[in-house]
Amino acid sequence: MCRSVPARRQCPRLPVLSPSRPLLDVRDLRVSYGKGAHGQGEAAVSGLSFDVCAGEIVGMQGRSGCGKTSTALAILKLLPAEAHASGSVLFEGHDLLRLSELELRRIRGKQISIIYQEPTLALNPVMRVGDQISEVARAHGLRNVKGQVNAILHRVGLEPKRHYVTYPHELSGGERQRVVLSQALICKPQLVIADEPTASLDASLKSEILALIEGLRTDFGTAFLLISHDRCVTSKIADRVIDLCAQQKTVPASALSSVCDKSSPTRILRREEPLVTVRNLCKRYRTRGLFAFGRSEKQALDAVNFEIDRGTLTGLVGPSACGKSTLARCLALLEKADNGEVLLEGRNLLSSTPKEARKSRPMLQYIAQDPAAALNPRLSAAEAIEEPLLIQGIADRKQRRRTVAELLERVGLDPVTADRGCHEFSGGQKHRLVIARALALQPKLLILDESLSGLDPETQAAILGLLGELKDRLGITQLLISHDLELVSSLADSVAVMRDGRVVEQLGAEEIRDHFEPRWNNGKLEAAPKRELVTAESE
Amino acid sequence: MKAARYFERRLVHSVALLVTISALTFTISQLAPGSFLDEIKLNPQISAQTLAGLRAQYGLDQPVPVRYFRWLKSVATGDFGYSLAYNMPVKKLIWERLGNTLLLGATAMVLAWVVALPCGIWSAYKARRWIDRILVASSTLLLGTPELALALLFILVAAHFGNVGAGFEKSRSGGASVLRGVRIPAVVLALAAFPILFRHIRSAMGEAWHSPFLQAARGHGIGNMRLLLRHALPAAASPLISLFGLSLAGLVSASFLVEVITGWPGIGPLFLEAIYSRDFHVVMAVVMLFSLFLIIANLIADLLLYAADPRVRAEC
Repeated sequence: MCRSVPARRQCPRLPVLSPSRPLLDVRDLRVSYGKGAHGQGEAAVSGLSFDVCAGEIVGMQGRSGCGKTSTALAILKLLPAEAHASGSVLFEGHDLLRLSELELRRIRGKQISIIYQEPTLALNPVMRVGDQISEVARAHGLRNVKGQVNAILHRVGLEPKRHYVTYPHELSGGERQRVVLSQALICKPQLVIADEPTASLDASLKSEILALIEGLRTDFGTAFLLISHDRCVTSKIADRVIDLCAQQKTVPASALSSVCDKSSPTRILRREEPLVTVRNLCKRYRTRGLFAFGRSEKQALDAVNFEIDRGTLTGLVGPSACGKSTLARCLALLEKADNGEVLLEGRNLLSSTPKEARKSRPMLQYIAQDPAAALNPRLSAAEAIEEPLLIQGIADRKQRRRTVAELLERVGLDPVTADRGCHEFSGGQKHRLVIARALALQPKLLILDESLSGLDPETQAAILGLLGELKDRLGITQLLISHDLELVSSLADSVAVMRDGRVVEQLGAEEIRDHFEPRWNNGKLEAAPKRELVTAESE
Repeated sequence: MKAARYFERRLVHSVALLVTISALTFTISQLAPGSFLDEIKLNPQISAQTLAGLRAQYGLDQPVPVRYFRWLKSVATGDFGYSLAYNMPVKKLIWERLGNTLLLGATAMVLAWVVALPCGIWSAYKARRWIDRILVASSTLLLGTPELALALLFILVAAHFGNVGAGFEKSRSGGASVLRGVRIPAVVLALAAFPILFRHIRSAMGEAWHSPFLQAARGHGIGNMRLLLRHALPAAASPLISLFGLSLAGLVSASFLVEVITGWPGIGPLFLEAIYSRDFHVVMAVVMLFSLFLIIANLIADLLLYAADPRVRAEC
């Protein structure tokens, strides 16, 4: 069923068992979500077969929403109650899918460990990390727990003395990932399933963690099932790669066609009045007052000046904490600027009355960073999209229904899915949903605040394609905020560069390409991490 | 060090809050028509001169701000004034009854928490199973029943079996009599507090139970009981500690109505009588006592929160 990409390194290094008998043998695994008890629901994984040999690193890659995480959870029967898994997962002669909860508990963490996607979420915020690791050891009856925990902490590159007593929030992202790794490895399992272990890390940390995983494999003879959307990650250390995408549904062709096509951005030749002009915009944050002593202030925006031309896609880039999001929120009237002007078609939004401001709101639509958080999980997709129409009192029931269907189609979602709950969509689909919702009021300016970070490359490209289409077909002006210069420059007609609360320069389309390559190499701006891995791999 | 500064700040807040509450209460109760002496006025045997003399003696002829600052000054030295109706110092009057109210409040609180905590945890663990449904349904029923009705119902049942024992007399009573007296009001109060506690515990535990780190811990093969008590409960502690603070604050004030109905010699009946007879200093003292409890309870809850949640420690 599934395509195995030819191995870079043909043979696993440490075959503990004979190669003919795999450690884990997954046969015809099907996972479906939804009501029907026997797979009538939405299929997340359909008929997946693969195996993992002892001491082998197997990569598993695929777009978001193609069932990677479902597969990982299904192996240890950790799927949520509404999911149903069938097929067989053979491990040491047992079919894990048919074991009781009690029998599984002896395997989980001891023989097969799982590393969850986001270490920040996977660690208990109110428990010391050392205790969290020893919990796992105790659950499986290890002796000399304290000594073993210290040993494993040392092995993953943490200081046992210092880190044992810290809480997760006191650690950096890389350190948390190391803690999660030691939790998984404390009982020396035969297999570790690592779900996106590097997704939240920057380039150098990513390579460190990958090197660590490779080292642990050599030391302990542990097999890894390494799940990642990032091809560079899997191909870097995996012995074999399973591509889930090859067998799963693909996104609509229209969305993929204009992916990252550098020739498509149309440059505005005529210089007309800009849609939005920002003049001397200032915003200062204070800590709370009254009886609080030692109040401090932070100048988030320090006299920002820039323009957004009609029908263009303007990029706004800069290092983190330089005021990008504050600027976006001020533009969207979600935050009140202290000083300055925001002119939309010549009218100053900041001096307008609340009533006038309310009228301008539909013209400015803000798309928040995390679409999952921006959608109410209790609403269906249709309800979420028609909400702005309801609030503004536009259109009757029938018309709204039609608009919702049109919008869903426009952003590349199937209108049939309109009645599904927002939480049932995958990460990339949620992005499309929030864009559809923002489009409902036919805005003049779409503000996208880091909307594309955290997506896998295919989804990112598809969403970028969608944005390009919106610009070209509907002429919707967009402000795309990102710390990823490469991504913005591939699509934007002009780019504003921010640093320390100021827009330090605004460049047109040609200048972007001329200027950015050398600058970026100078390390003047934060670079996208993934490029580094690509080059590392091609060498 | 940081913690000390934080609580120092909180203490300053609290004192400011208490002063504001006292000023507001003082002003508002002065706005209400009538005073203690107005009742005496109805008696034809007391002359106008005597009344004016009494007025001057109690300082009631002074303007409100002057009286407020006098009151504030005497409170600062620990003197809460004089009860006109009981003809004794307010402090002594309240002190006697505070013990009774605290006894009742504490019994009810312990009872409510001891029942609600395991019920809430179990209900969250068995969410949507029949045990959970029964508990949720009964808590809804209790939530909808006024404590007044509950108290009357209990008294009715007790009277039917000739076993009322409402109230008690301290002079003649040993521990058994106190226990007999506290039974009905304590159970009624605990039942009234139960649904709120239960629901909060259930939802906090439910949320913790479904959090990603709990899923992760399950993936490491940790048993259910340990997951529930060692992992989920501490994670759910923050909202529960705030809730605990609220029930501490209600220790003196929540039993007000039940005390009146069941004839418990606590602060409730005293407060009610003081309001009726416009016994001003008693009203002021009781309101200040309620506020003080609320503020202290919040402070304790914050301290506990600080101890329980490392993230709070990092923030302040």
